[in-house]
Amino acid sequence: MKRRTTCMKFALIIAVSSVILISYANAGTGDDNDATSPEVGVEWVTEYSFPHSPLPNSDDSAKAFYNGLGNAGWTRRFDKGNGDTKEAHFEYNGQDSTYIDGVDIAWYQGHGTKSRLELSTYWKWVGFSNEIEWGDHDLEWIALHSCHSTEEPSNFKGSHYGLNGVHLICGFKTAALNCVDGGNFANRLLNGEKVRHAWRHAIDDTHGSGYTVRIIGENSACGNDHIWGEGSVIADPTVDSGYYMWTYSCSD
Amino acid sequence: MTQKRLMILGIAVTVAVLFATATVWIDHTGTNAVPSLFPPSEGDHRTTFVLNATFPKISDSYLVYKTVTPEVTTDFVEDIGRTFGLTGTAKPYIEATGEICLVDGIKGVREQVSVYRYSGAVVYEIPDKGFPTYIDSQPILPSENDAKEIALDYLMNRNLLPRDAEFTNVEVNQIIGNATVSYNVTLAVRFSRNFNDIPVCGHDGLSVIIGNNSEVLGLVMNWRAVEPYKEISIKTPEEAYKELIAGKNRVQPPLETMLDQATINEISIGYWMEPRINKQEFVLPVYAFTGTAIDSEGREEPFRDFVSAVRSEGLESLGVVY
Repeated sequence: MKRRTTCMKFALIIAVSSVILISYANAGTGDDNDATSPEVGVEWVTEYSFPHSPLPNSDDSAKAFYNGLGNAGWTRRFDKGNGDTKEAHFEYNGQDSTYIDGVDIAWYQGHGTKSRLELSTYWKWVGFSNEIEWGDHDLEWIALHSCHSTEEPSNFKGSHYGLNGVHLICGFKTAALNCVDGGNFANRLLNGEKVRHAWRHAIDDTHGSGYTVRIIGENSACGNDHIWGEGSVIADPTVDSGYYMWTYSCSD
Repeated sequence: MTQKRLMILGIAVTVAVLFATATVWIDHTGTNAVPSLFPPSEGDHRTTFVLNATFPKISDSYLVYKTVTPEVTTDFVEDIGRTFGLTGTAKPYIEATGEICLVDGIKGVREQVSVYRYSGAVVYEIPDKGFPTYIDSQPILPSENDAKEIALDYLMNRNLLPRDAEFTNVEVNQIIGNATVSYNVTLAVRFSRNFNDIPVCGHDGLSVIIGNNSEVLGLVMNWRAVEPYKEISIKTPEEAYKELIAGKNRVQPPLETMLDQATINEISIGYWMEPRINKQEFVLPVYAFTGTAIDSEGREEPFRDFVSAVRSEGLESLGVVY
């Protein structure tokens, strides 16, 4: 009896320790058949109120990305625009595990700065350095099609880690134009381009000199990632305070 | 009227006055500030503009050019590929953008050239060398003067240097690294052109990408062939500036940043070229507005936007819609 109790206690200790170790070493505790059933979600904003300008192409661009992957067999999880976009969809203490961090690849298009996404003109913002933790549930890659979104990589290693298991964040070091880039990006990914090459190529096709893209990764190995089903994908990286970045200036 | 009703009426009037005051919007139209009760109902631009430039003098008319786009087939792309020493079979790559691509790995490293059907643009690159995943030391890059000479030799040896190309600049176009150390990976040697001394702007240029040990690792050539079409009169710069403020007749999509204020330091005329993935029949004059802007976080950054210089009836006659 005594031996049985001891064994049970020992087994419990082993089980709890394993869970803790796995949670720390591997991000993506919500990974769910990524390789066989990858998922995509998009959020976009066209309507910004006075005195700031609307972005008429955000919806077409996001939906082209969403449907481009969806038509290739990716599971369409959410397509949220304007009033249906919520800060909580992006935030660690909100519903990110259902939305942005609940899919394998996500797309945002709308206004932004180097420190936040701006889902509306006033007070509907998502701060990079203290409100997001991406990748600890499911997300592998995210495109932030907004001005200066990845200009300051250290913002994704703030008081909360935005880079928290996500492999790559694709964005802009400079301003960005409200172009319909989503479909081109999706097509390139599905043609087997590495994620960072696909982003670089898609943006170079529509932006000219004066615009620079920047892709941030948890580490350099993330730069070899393709999307699921189109080439190699590294295992979810160990999260630390560092990052790696690739910066390309577009050509006219 | 009872006191209570008077009070309610007074509150209602106060609210109405406050609402009207809160929606006052002032249009900056050069030297005259015109206050109006409501924001502009036309156009979408809400940024406040400050004019710090003089309006340029313009000619009575400007030449419109018609593009001459080659018929881009897989054979055409394979011919282009041979210019870069590539062999192989070209295939349609992305239907929506008109890209046809030839990939050659015969030298042990992937090289590729893409030609875009709608523009004839050419993009050549050696992806793993030109855009490496990781490097741990600074590549040996040439000086600016040497880079220019390397680019010119490369282009002339392949008969790729257009007669009207003018050297513009050399710049670092790729940086990779981590939080503590980063490296300049490649240089871009850039060329541009003019039509009758008027700069071609937008998506028009030739860039030679040079990497480690001065190796040419890429080329981007957005250089639509054109022929003169007809003369056309254009709107005044004052009219174009009003349109910029109102967000009308822009030739490119808006910026994805919320700009509180833009100061215009220069107004010039250029010829606008569309991105390589777009069809473009005519090359038309535009007004280029250049300056600085303050974003929603109070930070200053460069500002550049373009407004069509052609009046709406002129655009209609050409079948052009921006």
